[in-house]
Amino acid sequence: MNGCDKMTRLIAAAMGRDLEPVEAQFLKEHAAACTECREHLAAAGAVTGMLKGLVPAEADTPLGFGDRLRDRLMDRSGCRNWYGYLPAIRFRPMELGLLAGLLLLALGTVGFFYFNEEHPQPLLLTSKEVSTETPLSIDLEYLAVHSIGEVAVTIELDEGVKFHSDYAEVAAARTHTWTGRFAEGMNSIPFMVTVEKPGVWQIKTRADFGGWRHEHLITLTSAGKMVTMAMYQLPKHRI
Amino acid sequence: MSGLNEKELAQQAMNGDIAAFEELITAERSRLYSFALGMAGGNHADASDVLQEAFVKAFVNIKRFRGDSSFGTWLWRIVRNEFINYRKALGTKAIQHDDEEVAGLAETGGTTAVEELILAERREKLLEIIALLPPKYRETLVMIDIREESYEKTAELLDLSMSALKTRAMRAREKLSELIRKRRSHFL
Repeated sequence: MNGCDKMTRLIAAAMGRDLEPVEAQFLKEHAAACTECREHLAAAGAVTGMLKGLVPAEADTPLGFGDRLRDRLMDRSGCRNWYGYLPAIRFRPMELGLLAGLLLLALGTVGFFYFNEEHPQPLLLTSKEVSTETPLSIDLEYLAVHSIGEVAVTIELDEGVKFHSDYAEVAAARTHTWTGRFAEGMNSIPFMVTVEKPGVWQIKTRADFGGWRHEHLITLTSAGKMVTMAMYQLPKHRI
Repeated sequence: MSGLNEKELAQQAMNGDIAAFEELITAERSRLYSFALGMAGGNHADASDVLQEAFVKAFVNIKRFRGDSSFGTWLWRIVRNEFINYRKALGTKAIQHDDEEVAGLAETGGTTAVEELILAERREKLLEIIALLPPKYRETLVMIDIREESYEKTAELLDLSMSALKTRAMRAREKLSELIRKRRSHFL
């Protein structure tokens, strides 16, 4: 080890105030004769003065440090609410535009199907003109996809119409309920009415089977000796 | 402050109580940040990132804190380890910092504007040199020569025997002395 190499170690010892007197003497003598080591010693002296307090003993963390830390701790602990993630979602204009487009498309599709849906309307099944002097025969027809054990068909008449029947109690009633079975296929419930006075009268029927209510509306328009009948099938609905 | 002691706070933090954990780190936070600044060569962004990472790791691993040492000591060791990992991740990349950060690190008194400027520049150069030291020497230098912590406390925090610490401190100064010799013109 030459003198200059030894100086590096001795200067380090001097920085730590750990220099023996004999070493201090060597340092002084060598530095007086060697420009490089003299400069080294001077630089080390300047550095030693700067080391103490180069950073403050206590330093405040930067603004927002605590908030960022809390966010990260919440992420790690899994205790963040779903809305806590909202601020973290940042969209670029392109993504935002795409999202808005998709939203509009979804709304348009829903709207199209909603407004284009054919809302069920009464369906005219039959229409005819007959004389008021003879009873009017009406057939209610129901299609059953399989046989049904218990079916009730109720017929309600307006005051200007009456049942045509040999049975006085039937003829006198305004409402009649037929009960029975439906076979698989078309089932017919026939009945007869007479129009007693001029006017516009209605006959309402309903039959409950297969989880649905099936209704008919029959209008009778009587003027003089003729009556015009129109039978409508109303949209069925769940019961 | 909740009024709970360290053990109670640690127990609550183990159950995921973030407020309890924040209270636990409060006592050491500014000292640890000062240490982090020294280790990061005065770069606030790096010091902040590493300290935050260390705090998150402490929270995640708090069940490993058995109370053999104080919570503060346990925390210091995590921060130290984080700096070792951080330097490994950075490789030999020079630490970046701006002049304002360095100038603001230490107070200057009774000097002219030109002298302050020269002093700030020298501090910057010194921090750059310190950042070149291996972490084990840098932490010793930061603790003893910069923060002027006692050997006893430093030995506890760095988990070293007294003789090992003294040897390491001496080696750290020798390494620094070598670097100063090569860059002596910055300090003359």
